[in-house]
Amino acid sequence: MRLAFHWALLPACAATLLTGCEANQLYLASHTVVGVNAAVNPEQTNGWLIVGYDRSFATVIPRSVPGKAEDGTPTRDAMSTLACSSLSVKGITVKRFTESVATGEAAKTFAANLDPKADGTDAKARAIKDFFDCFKDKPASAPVPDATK
Amino acid sequence: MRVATPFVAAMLTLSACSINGVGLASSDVIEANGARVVRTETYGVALRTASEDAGVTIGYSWTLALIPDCSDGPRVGTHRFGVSTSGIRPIAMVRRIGGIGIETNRRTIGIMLGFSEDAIFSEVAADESVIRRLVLTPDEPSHIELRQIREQGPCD
Repeated sequence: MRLAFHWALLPACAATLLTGCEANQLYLASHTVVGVNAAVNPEQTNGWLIVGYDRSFATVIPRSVPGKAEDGTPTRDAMSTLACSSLSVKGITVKRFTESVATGEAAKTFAANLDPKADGTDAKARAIKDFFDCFKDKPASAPVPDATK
Repeated sequence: MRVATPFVAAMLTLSACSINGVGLASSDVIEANGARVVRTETYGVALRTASEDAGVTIGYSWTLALIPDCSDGPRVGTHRFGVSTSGIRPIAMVRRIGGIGIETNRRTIGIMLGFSEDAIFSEVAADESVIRRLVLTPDEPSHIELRQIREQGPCD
């Protein structure tokens, strides 16, 4: 049974729970509770009350990374991130979490080299796909025999 | 300072409490593949003072912290009165609490009654360039794997 009352949407709560108001860090996090949980963020703009069971998994990507426009004007942009993550649970606890992540300049470089057509070097793309599980090429499925023949 | 630590730990143990994992607590430091794992169990009243993780647990807590394999980190083995990892930024952390958990840190202010599990799998500064592959198995710490390349060294 789950009785939950949220003043904000669950993902927003999870993000708030884990990061506070303005994120300046990349977070991947999970929160599970069985019982009673009442909390607010430090700014007291969001709060939640959970009675029963609740699980949330959240990724928070900062939107305040300093950058530069083409004309050199300082700008702010979302953080560059390339990530593959997988979470498996057993009962109510985390059993296994796997993650391949690149951030910042590394993420931009990896993303630029993901497509083998970008510079014609297939080996580079293959190496990146080996590191990031979710970009690995799926083996071509065997053709389904035609039952009508 | 080092002479005083066992005395303080013994006093905290007698009063059924711990501060930052030292006192009525036990810790295992385990060598994993590419990192070190600190698994700490606390009983009674456990106080955490780090600003990003501050809070109090009344009951039982189980914390697994993945920390860089640095020379100044805690030594591998069992620590009977627990070991403090304050001052070391964990790469990932999982905490399970049974009882009452009070959070008073810069992320949240609240109270939990029952069981909770909180996990932070990644925490990377917005302007940081990192390449990381992590396999985290909280119940099998020796199977944990970390490969990481950072602009800064792993121990900075």
